[in-house]
Amino acid sequence: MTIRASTGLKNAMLGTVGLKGATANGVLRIYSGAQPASADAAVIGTLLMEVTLDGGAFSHGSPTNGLNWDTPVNGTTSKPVADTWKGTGIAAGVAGWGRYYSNPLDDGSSSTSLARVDMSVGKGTGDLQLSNVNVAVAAPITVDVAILRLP
Amino acid sequence: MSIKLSTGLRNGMLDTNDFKTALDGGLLYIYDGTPPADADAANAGNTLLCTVSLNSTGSGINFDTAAAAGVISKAPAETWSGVNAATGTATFFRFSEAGGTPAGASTTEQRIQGTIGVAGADLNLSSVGLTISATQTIDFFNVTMPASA
Repeated sequence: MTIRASTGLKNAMLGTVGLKGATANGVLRIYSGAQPASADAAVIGTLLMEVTLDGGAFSHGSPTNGLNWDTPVNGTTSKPVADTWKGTGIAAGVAGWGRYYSNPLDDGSSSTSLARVDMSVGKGTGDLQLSNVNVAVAAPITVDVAILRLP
Repeated sequence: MSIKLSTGLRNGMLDTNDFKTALDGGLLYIYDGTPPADADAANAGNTLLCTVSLNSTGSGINFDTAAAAGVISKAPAETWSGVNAATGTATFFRFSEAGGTPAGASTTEQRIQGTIGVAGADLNLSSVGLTISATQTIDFFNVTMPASA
């Protein structure tokens, strides 16, 4: 259970717009295998699924179907209860980790300026909980719980 | 050595606020005694040794224009200093938002708390023994966002 913030996100939280502002209208992509060492690093593993609001089509640069975090309480923010974060399997595999991308174009390569959060994935446990970690092509999966905390 | 963030500051940074906006214009307070458990807790019998402001004027102090590599520092052109109000051994500090009440309990005020020492602390001073009426200057002050939680 590890949450990793990118340097771009850390800089935003220290000096510009905060986490919710920096990550507004983002998208969550789920990959197989283990997390990279940092959220600045290039993605590793196979892209299994793209999670958007209600499973709608998403394009970087447009807010349509983007994801947003809830108002924080006690140093914690979550997926808004009323929002449905949903994706459809692109490739079959076991979900290992997820990267929350902010709205500007981000191809997942190495970056120290883009705001991202990497999270480990589980079912019924952890910071990012899916309805099913076994992703099948074309099968829908929802995010039941997503939680970010500031220590 | 770990800087503690108040609940009010953590909520702001997770929302659309940022550390610099929250604390710019605030003041740095130096205390003696055992530090409170966290930045939300009230001080317990700690003596305020020094209030650090802009050139000891009482005006607020500010952070650099932007963070880099996950670190934000004191505005380099500013002189952060204060005249000691009491004699004692500095053990911890609180940096409190403008108009804040740094010694009281709060889950909404935006503040940080850290240790003071001569080496290896969150805020290192040339000497932790402060003498009343002497001027204390803070030359370096950096805050790092952790990469993992």
